[in-house]
Amino acid sequence: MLARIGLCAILIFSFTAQAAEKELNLTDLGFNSAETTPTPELQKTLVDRRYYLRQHQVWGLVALAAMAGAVLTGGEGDLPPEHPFFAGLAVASYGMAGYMAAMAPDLPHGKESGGSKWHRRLVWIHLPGMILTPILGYMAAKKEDRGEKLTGPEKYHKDVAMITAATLGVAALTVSFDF
Amino acid sequence: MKLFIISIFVVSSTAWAQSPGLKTEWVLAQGKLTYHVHYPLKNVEGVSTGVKGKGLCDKSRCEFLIAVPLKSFESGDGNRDNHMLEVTKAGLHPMITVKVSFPSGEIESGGSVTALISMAGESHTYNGIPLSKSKNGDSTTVRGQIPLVLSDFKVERPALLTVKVDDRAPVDFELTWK
Repeated sequence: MLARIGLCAILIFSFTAQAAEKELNLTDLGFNSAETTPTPELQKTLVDRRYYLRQHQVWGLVALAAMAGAVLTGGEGDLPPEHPFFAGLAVASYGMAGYMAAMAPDLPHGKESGGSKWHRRLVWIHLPGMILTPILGYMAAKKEDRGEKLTGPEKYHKDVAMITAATLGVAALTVSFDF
Repeated sequence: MKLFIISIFVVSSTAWAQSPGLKTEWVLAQGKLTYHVHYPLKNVEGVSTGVKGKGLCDKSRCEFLIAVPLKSFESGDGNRDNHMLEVTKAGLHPMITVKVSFPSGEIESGGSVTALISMAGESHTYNGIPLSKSKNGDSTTVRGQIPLVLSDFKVERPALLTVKVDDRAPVDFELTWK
């Protein structure tokens, strides 16, 4: 009787061992549960991030186009009414683009590399430029209205605007092309 | 005595079934996966070396399971990698798994395999994936390309300036088994 039980045990063990080996799963591969467990919070963060960055992209492109319009309509002396319109639109849309970028949640394991790293670094050039350009433009317009010569910092309005527009363009290119 | 002989027969036949002259267990020692995505203005490659795998063979068939965390892919741009995680729903389905099954006799001969790939909560079978093999001592390196199509997994294709990437995103693999 004991021998028969032993035989049954051997048979069951043999076939169970084979069957168990057939079913490979992620734990068998050596992944820990943290790697394989779904985290819906992460997915929500990713979706939110994408939403804000998409908005950032749209407003950024509007700002770039408006800035180009402002540069093209700018010049010396009396300026067409489109110039302040484009300038105002550029500042407003740039502000929206910046707000959307700031609202995009950071990821816990987020790493900055490649084109997006340079995209962010260029903020240090175009943000001061976007603040200075309208201020200098306003100062220049006031002096022009009074018939005065541009002798102060306002005479750099055009240069600052050109540098800012160019930097905005490069910032857009960094996330569009591989360099 | 009769029972003893039967027991010996059962044990030896089990051992024979598991190893009739071929290796029964394969472990992925090293692996590299590279996905290729074509944007309108650039081509992107994402590489992962975080792939793990295991294979079991019996007398008739070999079953392999290969998996890689989506987070482990790096394309050289952190923002793009995050976008990839979003469209592939990495938060909900953090792993890509590949199940490969083929007759045991083909393990040395190469040829092509059928792979069941699960990604982003969807599964799709790709047939006839050609393999090239090379042996180096006790390890075997397998190379090939999975003709992955994003729409097979209902992955929303990323867009650059409103133009979407190609639906095809082939994945090169180089897997060294021991």
